[in-house]
Amino acid sequence: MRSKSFVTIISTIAAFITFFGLSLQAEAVSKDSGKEPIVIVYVCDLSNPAGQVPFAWMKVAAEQINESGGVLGQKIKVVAEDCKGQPNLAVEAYTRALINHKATVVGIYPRSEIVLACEAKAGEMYPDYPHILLAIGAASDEITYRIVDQYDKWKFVFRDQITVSARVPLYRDQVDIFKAVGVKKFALLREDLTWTQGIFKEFPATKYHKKILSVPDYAKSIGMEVVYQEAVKYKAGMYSPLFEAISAAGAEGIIFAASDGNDLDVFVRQWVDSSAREMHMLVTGATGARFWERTGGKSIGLITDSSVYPLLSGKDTPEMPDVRETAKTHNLAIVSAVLYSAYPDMFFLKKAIIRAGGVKDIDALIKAMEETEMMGPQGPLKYERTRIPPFFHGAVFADINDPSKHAKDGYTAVYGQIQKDGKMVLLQKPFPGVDGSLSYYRSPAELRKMK
Amino acid sequence: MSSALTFVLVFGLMMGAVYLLIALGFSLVCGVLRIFHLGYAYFFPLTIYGTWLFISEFGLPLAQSIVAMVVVQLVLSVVLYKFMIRRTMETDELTLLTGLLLTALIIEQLVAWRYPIQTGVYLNTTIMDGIWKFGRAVVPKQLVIASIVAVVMTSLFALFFIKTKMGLAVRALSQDILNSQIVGLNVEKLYSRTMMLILLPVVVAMLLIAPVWTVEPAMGWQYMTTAILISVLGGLGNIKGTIIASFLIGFTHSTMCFLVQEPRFMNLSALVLVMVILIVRPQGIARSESLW
Repeated sequence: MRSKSFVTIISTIAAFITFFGLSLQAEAVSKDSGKEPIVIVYVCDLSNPAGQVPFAWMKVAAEQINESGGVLGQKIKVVAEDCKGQPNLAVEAYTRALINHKATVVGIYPRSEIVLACEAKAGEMYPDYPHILLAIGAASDEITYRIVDQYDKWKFVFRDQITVSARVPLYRDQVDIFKAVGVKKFALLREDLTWTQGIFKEFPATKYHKKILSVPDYAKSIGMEVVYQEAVKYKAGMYSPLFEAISAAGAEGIIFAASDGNDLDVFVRQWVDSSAREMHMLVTGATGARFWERTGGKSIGLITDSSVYPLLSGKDTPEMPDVRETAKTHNLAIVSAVLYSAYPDMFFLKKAIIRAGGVKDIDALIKAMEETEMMGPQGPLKYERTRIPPFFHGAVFADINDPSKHAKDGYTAVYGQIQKDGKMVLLQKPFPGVDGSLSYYRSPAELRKMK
Repeated sequence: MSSALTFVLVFGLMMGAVYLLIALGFSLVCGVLRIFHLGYAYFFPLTIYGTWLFISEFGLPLAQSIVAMVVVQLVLSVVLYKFMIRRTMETDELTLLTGLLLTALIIEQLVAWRYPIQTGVYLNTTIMDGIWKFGRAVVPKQLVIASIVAVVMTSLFALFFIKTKMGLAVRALSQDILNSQIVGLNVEKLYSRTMMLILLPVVVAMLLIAPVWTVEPAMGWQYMTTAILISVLGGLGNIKGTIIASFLIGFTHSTMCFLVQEPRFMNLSALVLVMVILIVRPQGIARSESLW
């Protein structure tokens, strides 16, 4: 009997606390802004730093926007929904984002498989819960195919990343850099995820563009040879045998299309203690925070991308706070996803919402998303307006008439080399006023001697 | 072909020895305590991040930080034994397994909170930089040293169990607790010491391979999976079986890499091998009832 009364009392107290707690919370939002906040839900794998870092940046962006008066008087609220990297959990999270959080925008980061699973659910729910689906960092061509076929049904889907097909100019840049430093035979590796599929593929001609050579064929066309190619398991952990096989194939350099979340520090540490140690090495995504420290300085000589940003100077981004400054004041890591995705996305959304006059009319917001342009940390940010698959509603990067080339007004990717004491030296001159030249390149062996 | 065989031989031996170092502690705890130690995963991150904590937070030099980390690990092992394992191992195995698993998860989460990957943790425990060539095969000196240490350490453990009184007592305990108590063995003391003993190979393994292999808060699960696979294949808790299983997995991996030339099948092939052997010999390669 005593136990029953105890349970009743506890339940009553809990009910009161819950009730008053919720009331107070609701009141706090109401007093704070006067209007309901605009909710942006971020569906991601929060157990992985690759998911945590962009979320931290999105939260900071929301704070910065709110401190400067919000968007048309409304505050921005960013909520994370952890999907643990699993498509089924992501679909549940997506449903919660719309029903519980009443999200205006749902961002999904980063894997295409997860985005495609959520996209199907989003299509079912869109008529009752109009919103924007923003694929953050996902590259699969399939994500935007359907928007061209059934615009009215899928017009709410945007992708802030370049598609698998549109990456060709990026790969060609890498091959060109190798050619310029004297490499003739090289190994081509890709982490075994959707976004890298295009590196071995030839894209057949369509009614929109002519045939695009695969990277090995492109290399051949400029007098180089891919002597080894392999899809490498994500976070393989053991790379030593791979390096030996590459060395036996007679390669002089290695290009590895990989991303920040991969165990690239392990890859680099094992490279240095292998037969491939003298080879030229270009690894995309070796940009995570403190990469130099994580490799114990063994990343000297490595060519990589994006993390060169902290060295850029004189690059104005008037429509958003400076990335370097924000990183410093909020103690945040700069990774590639932050530069082209999560952080600038928030300011892009702000601009689009203002253009649409608010978030009540999602059709107007979609139109505004299609028309908005902004200068991001890596160049112009805008979504493709021409209805050509798979580029439509994706961030502009490749020239849609010849996707083997860069778009004139798309964002840029820059390459640098990690040199003495972890200092990054630019190998390209991405913007006026920024120093960069291939003449700064030194072979890994040469740099190790200087170390 | 002969060069591929050299690669298979050299890498098979090297990987096998490193796997042995990783699995030895797990095999010991299974053999002596007769529990499936699901908390084994915490030893790995605690070794690296514990050492890093003393370096970065207290400014201690590397050697002293390692000693301090070992003390922390010893204390934690004893606490776990006294307050969790001893209380539940005879009566409630499920609670024990859950408790051990939770311990590993809590430690992993604490590490991930304090030292997320972007902190840039790197322990310079490199004994020798560079490479050695064996025929055409090139291997990191650090991994060769790790392999030699693995073989020496396992030999010492084997000698300990075969030649010493305490080793004999632990073997007796691993076979029959009740009779060990009847003949006057101090079971409590032996258990506590075994809990401390299993630390040795794990700590040494982690410190030796950290400069070359994965270091991240969740790394324990990857290493524990390897340890479980080897221990199950070898015959849970049998050191002789563990030695054979480690090299068998090592050679399977190197065969996949250098003969079949498909590194992505490394883990798959090892799993298939374990499955096939367990179908033929469900008890594993060696008798799991005895430690040696």
